Amino acid sequence: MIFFFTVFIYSGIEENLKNKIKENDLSSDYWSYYFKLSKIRNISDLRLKNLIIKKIDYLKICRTNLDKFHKDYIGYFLFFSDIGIKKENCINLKYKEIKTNNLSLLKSFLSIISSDYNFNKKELNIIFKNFCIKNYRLEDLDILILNFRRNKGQLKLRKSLVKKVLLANFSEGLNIKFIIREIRGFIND
Amino acid sequence: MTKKYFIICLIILLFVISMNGSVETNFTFKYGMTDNIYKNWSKIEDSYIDGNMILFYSNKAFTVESVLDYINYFENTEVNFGLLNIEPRYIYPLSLKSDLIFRAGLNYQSYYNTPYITNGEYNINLTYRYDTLYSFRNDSSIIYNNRIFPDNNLDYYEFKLNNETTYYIDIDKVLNVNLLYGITYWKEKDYYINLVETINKTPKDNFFRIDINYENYFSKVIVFDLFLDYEYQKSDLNSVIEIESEDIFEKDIYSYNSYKLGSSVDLLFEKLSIKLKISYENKKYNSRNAMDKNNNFLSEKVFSNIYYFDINVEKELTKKLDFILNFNYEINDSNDYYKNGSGYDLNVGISY
Repeated sequence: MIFFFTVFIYSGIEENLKNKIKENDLSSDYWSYYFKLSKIRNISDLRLKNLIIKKIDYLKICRTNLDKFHKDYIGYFLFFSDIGIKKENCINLKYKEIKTNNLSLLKSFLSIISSDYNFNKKELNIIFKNFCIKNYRLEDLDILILNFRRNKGQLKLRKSLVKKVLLANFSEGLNIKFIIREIRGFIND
Repeated sequence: MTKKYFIICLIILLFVISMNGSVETNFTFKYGMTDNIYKNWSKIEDSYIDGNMILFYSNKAFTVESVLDYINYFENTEVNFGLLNIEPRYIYPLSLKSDLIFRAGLNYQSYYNTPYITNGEYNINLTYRYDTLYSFRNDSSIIYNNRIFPDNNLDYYEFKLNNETTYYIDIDKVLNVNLLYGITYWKEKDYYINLVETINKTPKDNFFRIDINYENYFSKVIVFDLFLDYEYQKSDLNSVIEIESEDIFEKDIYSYNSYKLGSSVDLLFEKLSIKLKISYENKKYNSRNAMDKNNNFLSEKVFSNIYYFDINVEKELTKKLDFILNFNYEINDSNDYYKNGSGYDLNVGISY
C-alpha cells in the first residue's frame, strides 16, 4: 500500500515537472536522463525539483540570449550545464554559427577533455569561453577530435602536457592549426 | 655486464618517479597466436602472452618515458624476453622558432633462456628543431647508439643523421618527409671470406632511407594515410649459416635495397577505432644468390615481394579500460626457398 502510494506521489511530481518543462516549451528526450537517474540514485523529490527548475532557468537564459536557439539543441545545452559550463559562458555561443552538427562536435570535444584529460569545471569554462569569444570555428574541432581519437594512447600518457597546451593556447587565441600541431608534436617529444 | 644497464635503468626510474611531477601509466596484457613467416624453412606455430607497462613522467623541465615489456612463448621458449627501457628528454628553447632537444636512452633486453643474445644498449640523440610555428617544422638529429652482447660477438655502434620535415598543407592535410643516413660498425671479429677462411676485420653497414608520408583527415571519422619508403643498405658482413646440417657461405648478407608502398585508413568513432593497413614491398639482396630446397645456389639474386595486411581494433569498455585486437598477415613471395612463405599474428587483450 505504502509502495503504491509512494509511486503515485512520485509519478505526480514527475508529471508536474514534465508539465513545467512543456509549459516553458523546452521539451526534449534528454530530460528522461534526470528522471531515470533520480530513481536509480534515490534522489529526493525536492532535490529533483530544484535540479529541473535550475535546468529550465539555464535553458531560458540561453534561449533569450541566443537568436538561433532551437528546440533540437536542448539536449546539448543540458549537457553543457551538466559538465559545469556556466550560463554566462554558454551564452557566448552567440558568436558562433550554431547548428546540430557543430554542437555535437563541441559536445564530443568537451567530453574528451573532461574524461580523458581530467579538465575540471573551472578549466572547462576557460576553454569554452575562450573558444566562443575568440576567432575559432566550431567545425575546426572536427580535426582536433580526430587527432585525439587517433593518438589516444600516446596523448593520454601525456595528459598533463596536453592540458597545459590547450589551456594556454586557447586563452591566447592561437590558430587551431597551431594547436593541432602542438598536440601532434607530443607524440614524439 | 648488461645487468648494470638494468640496475642503472631501475635506479633512474625510481629516482624520477619519486620527484615532483606528473606520472601517467598504461598497462597492456595480450594473448596471441603466431605462425612463422618463413614457412618453407621452419613452420613455427606458437601462442604467447605479452605484458607491457609504459610510464610517462613529466615536470616543468623534462620528461621521461619508460617501457617494461615481457613476452612469453609457450613452445619456442628460447625467444622469451624481458625488456626495460628508459628515455629522458629535455627541450632547451634557443629562440621563438628554434629548440635544442636532448634525448638519451638506456635499454636492457634479457633473453633468460638464451643468455648469449641478452644485450644492453645506450643511445644519445641531439635534435635541432626549426619551426615556423605555422606550416613548417624541421627536425635535424645526430644519433649515436651502442649495443653490447656480453656473451656474444654481435656488439655494434651506430652513427645516424636524420632529417624530418613536416609540412602542414592545411588543417587536415599533412606531408612528412624523413631522410636517414647511418653507419653501423660491428665488433672486430673473425670475418669469413669463404666457407673455411677467415680474416680479422671490423665489418660495417652503410644505410640510407627515405620515407614520404601523406595524411588526410576527412570529416567526421576517417583519416587516410599514404606512404612510400625506399631503403638501401650496403653491408660487408659475410656469414656461414647452417641449413639442415649443412654449412652455407653467404656474402654481404645484409646488402639490399627495397621499395615499399602502402596506405592505411583509420575509422575513428566515439568509443571504437579501427585501423586497416596494407602495403607492398619489393626487396632485393644485391649479393646473395637464391637457393633451392636442396641447398643448391641458383644463378639469380634473392628477391622478395612482400604483401602485408594489418587490422587493429580498439573498443572502449570503460573510461580507462580498452579491448584491443590485432591481426596481421604477410605473404613473402620469394625466389629463395628459405624466404618463401606466409604467416600471421593474431592477438587480443586489454589496455588500462
